[in-house]
Amino acid sequence: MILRLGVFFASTPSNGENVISIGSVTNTITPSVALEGKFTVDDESNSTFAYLPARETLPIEISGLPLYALDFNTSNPADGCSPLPANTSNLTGQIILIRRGTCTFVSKIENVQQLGAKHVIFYNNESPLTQPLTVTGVFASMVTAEQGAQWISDLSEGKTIKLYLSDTPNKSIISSLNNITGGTMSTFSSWSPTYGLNIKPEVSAPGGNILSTYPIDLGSYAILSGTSMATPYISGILALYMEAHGSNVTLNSSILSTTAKPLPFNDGTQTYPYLAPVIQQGGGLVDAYAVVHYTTKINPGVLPLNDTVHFNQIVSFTISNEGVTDVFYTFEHVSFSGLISR
Amino acid sequence: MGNNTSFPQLFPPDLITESAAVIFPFDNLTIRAGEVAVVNMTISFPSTVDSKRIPIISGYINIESSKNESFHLPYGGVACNMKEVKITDFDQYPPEISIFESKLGSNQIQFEWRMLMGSSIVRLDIRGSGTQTEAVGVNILGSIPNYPSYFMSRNSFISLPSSYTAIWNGSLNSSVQVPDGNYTILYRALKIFGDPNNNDDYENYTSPVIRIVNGPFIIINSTTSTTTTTTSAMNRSQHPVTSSVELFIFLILTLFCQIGLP
Repeated sequence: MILRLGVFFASTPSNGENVISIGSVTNTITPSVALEGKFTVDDESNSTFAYLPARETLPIEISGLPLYALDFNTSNPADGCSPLPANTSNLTGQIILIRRGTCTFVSKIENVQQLGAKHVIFYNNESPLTQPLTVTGVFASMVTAEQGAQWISDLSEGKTIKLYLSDTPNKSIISSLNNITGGTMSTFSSWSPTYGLNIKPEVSAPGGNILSTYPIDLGSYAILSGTSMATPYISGILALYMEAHGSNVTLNSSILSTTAKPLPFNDGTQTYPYLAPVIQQGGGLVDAYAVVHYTTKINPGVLPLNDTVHFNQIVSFTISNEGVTDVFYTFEHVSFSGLISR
Repeated sequence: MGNNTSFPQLFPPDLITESAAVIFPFDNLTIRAGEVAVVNMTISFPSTVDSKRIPIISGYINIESSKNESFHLPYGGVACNMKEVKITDFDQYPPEISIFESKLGSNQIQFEWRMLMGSSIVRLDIRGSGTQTEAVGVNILGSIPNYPSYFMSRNSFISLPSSYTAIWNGSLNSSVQVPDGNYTILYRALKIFGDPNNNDDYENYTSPVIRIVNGPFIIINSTTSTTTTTTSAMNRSQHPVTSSVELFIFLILTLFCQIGLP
């Protein structure tokens, strides 16, 4: 569920003049707050792994139950989707390792539950990690595709893997790459212009799928999305800037917008070979290094052209060389196709 | 939604191939240490765009320096006259009054309208006989409480378009309760870039006559016909509309979902 309200919907109060408005960029990785478990291979090498329990599953104590794989093929898209052969031995007392995909988590669980299984671990396919669903009486969790492949490899060599879980587990962060929307503007980020034709946001920052600390009573860590995540990122960059240049400097938002890196357009399903419009991303993704270190300043930071009545053909900006050497500059116009509002 | 409606398009809006043309006074420039240069570009909007669809023209001026510093100066504007852009949805959801029966047994007037674009001043003034005050070139008795309203956003269109609602119980923003009599509501929304002191720069709508008899009871004058209003209200209920309150709840839920399903 996302907000896609379209153009002319810049949010108050950041749509004010001299207020810096921050757009949201989606994280290139999708983190998850997981739990930490331990495992042994042939009763040796006590290692840790991260698992995402099903939402309705409370942490449980498991001390040394063996893993059992339905299939050693880690690319079988429909692993566990068919009822198991009648001659399959009873699965109670084992943890069933099943690849995610094709049919639902619950279908896979029901197929092994028929043979007495009470513990299931799914290993991920190419999708972003997610908490699995389960049925009453079955403990279910998800691990990464990499963890699954490692276990399957060991099991296929005849090794025994035993899992040890605590009912008061430590937190662990696991991540998957976001190849679909990562590194592009979040689709929930508001589009300008304002009704007065100011351009917002000035700049954008990571704000989609952001891992941060959270009230201890609510789990200590959380992954949230919104410009409420992007804005403190900019605050952090301003702190870096003050650390480098002194706290009495006034930071003009033009440093943020003109040193940012414009991002390609993504509609939530794919990335296109053209830039996202200025009214969606402003200058683009903020570049902290450039903000702090660049010795050239461009002003103003955005050029609102207004409408046809107020339009001025001559548009001016200044380039300040605040460095200690002479600098040579070249110019290029990067045009964007027009957008129609209605 | 496209061009079959006057609402701004949902995400993502349609693209057109036309873009701005930019001419630089020079292709390159050397600036001495500690010095500042002014660059005066010539920019023109494309001439072949459909101004009725409010084309937004944007892009970047890319500046590369010999110190390997790279800058992108964003620009953007609209290739139309914003003052001509319709604020109020007079075509698909014209402003309308109806009787609002409260649970406490008293009835009130409900005024409903939809905004396709934001307005910096929306006035809801009451006209009728009594002590007159001048408000932007028109004599009025006063305004509906909490009006004029400033910097109102356009309505949104998510699954259903929303609208604005104001309730009038017969009192003015001066706390004066109007006596029995005939009244109208004058709705005015300032056009974008309009002069707030010039009545011609507002879109306006005058309601049918509202007759108040026996104190708090409010009845729409039968000459403009209660029947008409009722029928119209029924028509409207056939295509349900999210109110601002519903929209607000929706936004909260949406935010919740964002948090709940990262």
